[in-house]
Amino acid sequence: MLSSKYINALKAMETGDTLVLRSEIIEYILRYLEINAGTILKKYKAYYGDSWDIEFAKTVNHIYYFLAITKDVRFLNVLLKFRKLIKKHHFQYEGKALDILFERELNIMCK
Amino acid sequence: MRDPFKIVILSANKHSAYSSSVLNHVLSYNIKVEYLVVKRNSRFSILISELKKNKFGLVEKIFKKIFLQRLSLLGFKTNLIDGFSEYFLDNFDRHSTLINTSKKFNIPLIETENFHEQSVLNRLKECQPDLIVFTGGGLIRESLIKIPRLGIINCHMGILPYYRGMDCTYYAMLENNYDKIGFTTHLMDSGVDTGAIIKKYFVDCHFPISPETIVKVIEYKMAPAIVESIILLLNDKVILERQSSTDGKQYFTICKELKQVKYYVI
Repeated sequence: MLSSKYINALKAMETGDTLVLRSEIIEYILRYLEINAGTILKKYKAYYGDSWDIEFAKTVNHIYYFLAITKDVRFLNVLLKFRKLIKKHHFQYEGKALDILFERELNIMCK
Repeated sequence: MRDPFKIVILSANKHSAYSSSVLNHVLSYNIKVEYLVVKRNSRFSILISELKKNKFGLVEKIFKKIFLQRLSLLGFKTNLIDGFSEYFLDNFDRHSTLINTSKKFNIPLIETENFHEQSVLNRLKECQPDLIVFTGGGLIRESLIKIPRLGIINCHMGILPYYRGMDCTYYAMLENNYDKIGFTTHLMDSGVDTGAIIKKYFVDCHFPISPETIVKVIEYKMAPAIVESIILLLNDKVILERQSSTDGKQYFTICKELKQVKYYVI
């Protein structure tokens, strides 16, 4: 089950007022996703029931957004860990498009 | 003349080449090792949880940490061994392992599944150590941190406060921060690598070099560096640099795709 602190962090991230608050929350969410990378799917299913995939896709969208604006390699790392999962469940990103997306980010990182 | 300083060494396993090097080094100074506390890693649940996290990572870890290290301690030196084992074989008799040295110098060895077990804490409290030396074995909690007079010392494989957590060398290279590659000795607190900094050791990367080679160089240098910091700390010759939680970032185990990126080093 997802922790209530994490759920609150997700909500706060969407409505956060200040940049400082946002960055602390983002750090927390990143840490939570990394630490629970192996069991995150189970946790989302247990917490959200049938709508787990929509909620997880929302989180993935947020992480991709943070990657795009911050170019922080840690977001790319966590997305890569979820890549199989994302492809398997056909979230908003189609598998092939996702590969192109990651390749592009990797290329940017290596320049 | 003052009484010898008293320290306790924490180790991730009894075959650790890094712990063996640290132990052999400190015994050459006027330091008394009160206890060796070694983690017993046989718990089935730990194995299962590691397996869930990363199957191949676990196999690699077992191969490197257990099989290759044991092999090297038996005197088989191969290119596959890590920097810790290489340093140990280059500087000490291969028989002076953690177990053999503890027997030779009558140092009590405590095997435990958890450093925070009450019986372990009680024994450490009784001996009132000046310093605890962490040479691996997981997270440390407040109950242990408050026991030694000076604190718990650790050597972190990254330059603090910028790179906290795991695989810092890879991340520093990915981010083109070649001037922030190396390792840091610091005192531990309840955060992840957020305790006061003792000394930073930079590794020069101004030639084509792979991250794996840099990691090996760092591993090779860690044992003498942590002993140097122990001596400085015990002799009150350190100005500690406090860290703020916002000074750096915490990094996590790097995924294989990022590990395989071609690194360009000038």
